[in-house]
Amino acid sequence: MVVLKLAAILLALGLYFRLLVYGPWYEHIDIQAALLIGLLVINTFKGGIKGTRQVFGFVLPFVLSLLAFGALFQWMGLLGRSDWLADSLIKALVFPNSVLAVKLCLQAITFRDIVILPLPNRVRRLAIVLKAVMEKCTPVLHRHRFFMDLSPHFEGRRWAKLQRLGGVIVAAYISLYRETEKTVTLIEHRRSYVRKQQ
Amino acid sequence: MLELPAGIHEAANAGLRFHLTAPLALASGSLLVLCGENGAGKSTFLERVLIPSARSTHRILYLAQDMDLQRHTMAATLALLGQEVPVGITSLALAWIQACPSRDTLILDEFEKYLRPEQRETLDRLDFSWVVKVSHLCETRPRTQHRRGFRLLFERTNAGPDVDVRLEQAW
Repeated sequence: MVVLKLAAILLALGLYFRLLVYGPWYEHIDIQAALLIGLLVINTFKGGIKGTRQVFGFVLPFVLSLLAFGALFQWMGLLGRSDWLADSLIKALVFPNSVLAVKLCLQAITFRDIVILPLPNRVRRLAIVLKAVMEKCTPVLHRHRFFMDLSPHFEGRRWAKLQRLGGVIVAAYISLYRETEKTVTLIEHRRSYVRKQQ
Repeated sequence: MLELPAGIHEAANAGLRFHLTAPLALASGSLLVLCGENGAGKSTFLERVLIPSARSTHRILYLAQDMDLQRHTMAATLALLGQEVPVGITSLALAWIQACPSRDTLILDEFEKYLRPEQRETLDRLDFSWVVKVSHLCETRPRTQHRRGFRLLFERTNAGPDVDVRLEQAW
């Protein structure tokens, strides 16, 4: 049953990329827009309004800069093309769609599924660690951004925003590295405990 | 002035409503201690009400409760500033505070419990204009380094969404 579920998730994801990213429906703005609305509704249903707001916070800077560059290139008539804006608009829909599709599919795979899956022990352990760490990525990143935005250490310095951004990335990387180590230790303890019980 | 108007302050996403009975208007040289039971909403008040309100007019150095996570931000900051990164959590936090060019507002969420007496003295000598601390104990003895001391008392009834917040002057 779990194998079927996983196969269905991977098939759905594969179909999405085959049809809507690298396939015939890529340029269909109406289909992409309808899919975006659908995915946002599912995401809100599963993760609440806060979860959807976080997705917006993640994708909006990229989407807006994409549209801004599209408008600028259109106005400049860059490379003699007149479809810059339309192209940017499609990408501005495809990017959040892809983020949401991958996010929802990965979220649908539970820890229980991973435990039940017929996998070699090492692969199973790796999959559990990966899922545990991935789930912590977003809150950790937001927390470090909050700390760094508040910190007055870089005020008045050159490239303060860039330094802050660099600081957030470094801090998040160290945090996730530590978190991975902790998760591995925790799994090892649990496994040895279960072995002893048996 | 460190100010916050009286009235209801909603903490978005935390499900808490803070009823501040009197306006908060603290002159430079003030110490403010937030007291109340565990779960009364002191940290939420700091992060969702006081800090968002004060950050546009004050430079805030905030040491949060989740120091285990914040230590990585501190380490990254010190490294980017080209300074030595101490190993111990308290030494790291003190180095991070000392590396900051501003001495405006220092907010400590139960950080002092980690400090040894000599580290506490180092912190006191830094002479911030406003110091805000979170504490479970409401004891606020007059401190010579702060001209005025205030208590902000948190009372949350039956773990509900409403929290009464009362201001008292300690000295």
